[in-house]
Amino acid sequence: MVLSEAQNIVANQARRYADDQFSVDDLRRRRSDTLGRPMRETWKDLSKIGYTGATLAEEYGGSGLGFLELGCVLEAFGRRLATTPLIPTLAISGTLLSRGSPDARRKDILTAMATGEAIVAPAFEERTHFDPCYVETCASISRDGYRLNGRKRIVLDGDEADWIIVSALVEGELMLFVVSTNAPGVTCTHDILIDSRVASVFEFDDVILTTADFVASGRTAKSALDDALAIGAICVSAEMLGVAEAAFHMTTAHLKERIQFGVKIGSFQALQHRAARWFTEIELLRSVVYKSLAAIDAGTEDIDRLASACKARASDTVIRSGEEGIQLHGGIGMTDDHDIGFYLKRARVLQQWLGDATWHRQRYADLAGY
Amino acid sequence: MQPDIASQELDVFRTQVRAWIEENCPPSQLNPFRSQAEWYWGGRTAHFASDDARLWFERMRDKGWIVPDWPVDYGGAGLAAEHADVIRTELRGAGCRRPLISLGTTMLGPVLLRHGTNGQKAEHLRPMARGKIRWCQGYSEPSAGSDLASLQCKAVLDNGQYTVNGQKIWTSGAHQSDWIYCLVRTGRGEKPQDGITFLLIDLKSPGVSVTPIVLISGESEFCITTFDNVTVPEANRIGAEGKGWAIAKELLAYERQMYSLDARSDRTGSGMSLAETAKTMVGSIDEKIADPLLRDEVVQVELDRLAYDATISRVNAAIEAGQAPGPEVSFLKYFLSELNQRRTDLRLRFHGNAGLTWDGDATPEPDWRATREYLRSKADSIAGGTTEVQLNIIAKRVLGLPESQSKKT
Repeated sequence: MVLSEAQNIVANQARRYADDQFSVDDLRRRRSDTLGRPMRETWKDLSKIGYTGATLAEEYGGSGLGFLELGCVLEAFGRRLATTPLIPTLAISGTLLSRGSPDARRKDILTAMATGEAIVAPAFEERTHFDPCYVETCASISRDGYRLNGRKRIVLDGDEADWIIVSALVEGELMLFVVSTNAPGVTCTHDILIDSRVASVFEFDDVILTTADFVASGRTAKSALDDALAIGAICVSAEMLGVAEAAFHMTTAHLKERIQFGVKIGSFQALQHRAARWFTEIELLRSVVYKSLAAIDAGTEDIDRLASACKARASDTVIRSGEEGIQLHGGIGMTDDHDIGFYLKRARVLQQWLGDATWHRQRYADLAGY
Repeated sequence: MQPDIASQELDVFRTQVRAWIEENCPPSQLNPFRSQAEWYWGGRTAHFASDDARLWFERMRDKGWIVPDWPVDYGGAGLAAEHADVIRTELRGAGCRRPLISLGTTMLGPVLLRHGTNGQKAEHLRPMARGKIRWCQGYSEPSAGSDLASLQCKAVLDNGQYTVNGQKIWTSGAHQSDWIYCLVRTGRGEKPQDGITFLLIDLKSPGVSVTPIVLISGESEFCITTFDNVTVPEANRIGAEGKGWAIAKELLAYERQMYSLDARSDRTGSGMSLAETAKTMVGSIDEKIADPLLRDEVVQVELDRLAYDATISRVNAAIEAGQAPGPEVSFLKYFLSELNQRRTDLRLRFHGNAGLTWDGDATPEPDWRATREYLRSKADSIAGGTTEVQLNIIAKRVLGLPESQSKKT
């Protein structure tokens, strides 16, 4: 769990890039549809530095890096509240499409992903609470392939995605499809979330799919989905680690500067103990995130269990960080002008997406057999 | 030496160490201790928990691997730091029990090697390493706990001898130990830390009396040690007079490390895991713990343990890579103590009213064991540096938060 020299170079480069390219002001601008920078531009920029294909195989134009390296990038991005398609497109969809022996269509999509030309959003969720097993969207078998009907929600980057990966039931069996967002019958509406991300709702009305759009079915589909979501959960935990760290550093800097009652408020023991416990939580999260990222690269068998251990902790720690951040800043922490509030907003979204702490603790217990 | 040649040589050594462990560590010594009753402390009162424990101790002792980096004359194997690290890593990796539990070898020994006179090293190191002499620590006093520097146990030098008067409290194992290392006051200076001296005292000296303290858990591992005009030769002083605080600080650092880094290898299991106990005592539905709230609390404890273990791995990985461990070592002790307290509390809650027994014939033994463990665990957040002091240290030394500026009247 000690980073190699090469990994340290990746981490440092990511930190410099993130400091340069992303700031909380981006989130203020993104709140309005017209002022925010299109995700497609961000994605194209990321491809120039090799991030869009970081974990993809070299045959697709990827860098063949591990998830430990991607995790370092995500942590650095998390610190700056960077909003990018990296996790939905690369970590989740990229992993899913790379499984098994991808056909020509999937290879094309992966290659386009690596060159920053394609955003591919995962579209699995249908309820207000994370439940990937719950699928009402269905595809009936027809003469030319399938007809897709249903609805998916909380599809991040859906508004700018070229493709979405959809889970649907076909005669009771789980199947995964690649769907072009341009296809007739596909409607997309979107919300701007509190952290300035865009989340879309997709409606499918007799969308025609051919066998070329088929990705996987049955057990293969289930295990590919589980793996991709586990990897996604670990990657978003790395991002949450960065968010938590930045909120912490901003807050301790404040404690060292703010004077009340003639002294620096950081000298009050109650606040010192609070900061010390907060520090402990972040460092414990760091240990589990790095362990989990390394486990993905090592091909560990029970990655699901570790992913839940990781996401549960990350969700709790990032929320605690957002909330402590505001409380310890006092009144100014409640202003839109101050950056700290945006850490809580990003924290809220990330702790929920892909399963909150309670969901993942239950899942951990299920997988552990108690 | 070229780095690649050095690491090759280390790899060969590692293979040899592994082979020796496989040949010499009895299988029974590869499991965690079932309780602290199985620990071997050395000294005049010690006994081995089993023949295998004796065998393992004697083999490690004779190999010099109880203290591999100590000179051979002092009972060690005379190995360089990297080789000693390999041995420790391999022993830990194989899951070997520590053959000797000793404050001497882990804390006083390193201090003697750095600050002791040749006479002191010759007299004390070898018996310590060979388990002949058991040491205990005399720091805290009834009026000086977290505020250790305010200690008052007095030592007056006259004609090459110190006369010691005072009391030490919480001396672990004093009733079973042979010698004690003490902080005594020989003078006063500007700061309370000035005028503190580090003395080694033979517990058999006339005027020393040791009384075990009974804890709320019914155990008596801690003692009050009273010194009534005890004579101690000047040669038993480590370092200069009045300069003992710095030596104690060094020792305290070793103590905090001992509490956390090796905590895992000394972990005593109570047999059943938390989840198994829950299922047995609270019931299960479809293989799941019947009460969803208790189930969630069990997961939280398990996940915290996972995070703690991952942090220990991270610290060890840094040490093995030749780097200094990061600031994460600062919270290991308090975090583990609170985790342990939550665990013992949960376990007791599973027992319900069967967890209220102190003693008696009506309920089976494992039930009241859990009760005693819960009561005993309350000391974990106090002994070895209270949680509050640990948090102060993290805040000031790790996070750099400012000193409290209390108003002076």
